[in-house]
Amino acid sequence: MSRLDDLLELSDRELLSAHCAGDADAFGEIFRRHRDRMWAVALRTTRDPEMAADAVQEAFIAAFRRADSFRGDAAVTTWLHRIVVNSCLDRLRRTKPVVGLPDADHGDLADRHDHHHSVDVRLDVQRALEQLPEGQRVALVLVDMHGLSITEAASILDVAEGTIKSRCARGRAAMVPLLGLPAPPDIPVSHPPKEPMAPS
Amino acid sequence: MPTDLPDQTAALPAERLVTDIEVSTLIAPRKPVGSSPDDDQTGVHALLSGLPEPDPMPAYLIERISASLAAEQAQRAVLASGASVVPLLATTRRRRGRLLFSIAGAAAAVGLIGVLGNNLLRDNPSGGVTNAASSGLASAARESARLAGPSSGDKAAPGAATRAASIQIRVSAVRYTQATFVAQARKLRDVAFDSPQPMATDSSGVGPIGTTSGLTSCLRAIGAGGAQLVQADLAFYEGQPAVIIVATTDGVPTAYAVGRGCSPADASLLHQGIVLP
Repeated sequence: MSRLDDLLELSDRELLSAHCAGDADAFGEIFRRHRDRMWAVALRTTRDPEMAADAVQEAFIAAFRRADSFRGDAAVTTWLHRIVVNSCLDRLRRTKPVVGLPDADHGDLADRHDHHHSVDVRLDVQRALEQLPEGQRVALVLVDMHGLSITEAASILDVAEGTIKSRCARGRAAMVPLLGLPAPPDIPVSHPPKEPMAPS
Repeated sequence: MPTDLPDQTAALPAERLVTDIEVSTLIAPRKPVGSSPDDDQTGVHALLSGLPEPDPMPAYLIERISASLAAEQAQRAVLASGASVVPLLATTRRRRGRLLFSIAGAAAAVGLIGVLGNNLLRDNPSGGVTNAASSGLASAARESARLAGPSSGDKAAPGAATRAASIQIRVSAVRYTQATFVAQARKLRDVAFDSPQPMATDSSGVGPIGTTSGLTSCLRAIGAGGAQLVQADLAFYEGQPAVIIVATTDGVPTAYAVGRGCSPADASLLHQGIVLP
């Protein structure tokens, strides 16, 4: 079994431990496994490919250097997410708010398999997200776009779970008029019994 | 609601009395509407979660980050090697004191290099060189003499710590930009001068530019081959792997940014030489 095969067998935690113990190749495997996902998070958080590239590079270098700070109380991916998101937010706060997407970014953001309609929807969503306060936008990126749990998102952003829930709820509500979606019906706190489904 | 049922509430303790509303609340606890994906009434969750994933990390970025991590690993290997560092010369004659290091003994096996100027070893009024007795210093001296090339004479560089031709190389994650290049290069000139760090040879994966001979070739390519003092930082320029060079000739420091492939065949100049104030 080759060295690479050995690394493939290791879990993220084992790889990180090996890296801390001095293994020269372990972190490279961590990078290989998670680079696409971290790139997606950075891209969606910053909405700027160049900024995202700098942020994700800075994040992986920081993770390399601070691997021994990983306490093991969360998943390695959660830890990586936290470093990437913080790197993105630091850069965003240092720069002027992005008002709209530059024309050159449309090609970078569009999936090569995307249909025209999907590209339009994605651009509308991006523009709508840009209108949200940072906290709500990042919460929606992590929970709705990346499918992370409330618990994971709370851990990444180092806030209470209730805060994530609140940000998600407010963010979604704010997105409705921005996207031109129909307003949701008023729902009472005590939910009425559901009507039986109509036969298909 | 039927009203002919016997009144049973009177038999119950007061704390057991509950209303229909309270029961429904116990079954479905109050929480922010739409706080979780499952009960998002807006449709926004479904819309966002249905968007296609961005394309994978582009190849140029993979290469860039891989190079950065390789440099980090090289530096980590250097620190972990436990190389002994012998201070060769300390001078406080000038406004900036500096220590020049030569790596001796077993450290040479892992390719650590600290380069000393040719003139420094041959002609130092302070006599500091005579304090160095390690046999490893002799080989380092011969290496530095070969790399420094012909003597540039006895003219001292005003403001410099020594008269010597000296090359210092370090690895950093500093992100130089066009807008702040001058300020950052000045910092390189000042900071690196005080605490030079040894640079691993090709094991860093950054290529010949990470070695003194490769850097010397690059200096000739950009027209700075006659510099008496060279400080190089393997870092980034405008987001790309680069080498930032401050070459001091006759007391005048000039800063350049070149690509990692800088060689006599291709200078890979990213930022034209600019004299530092």
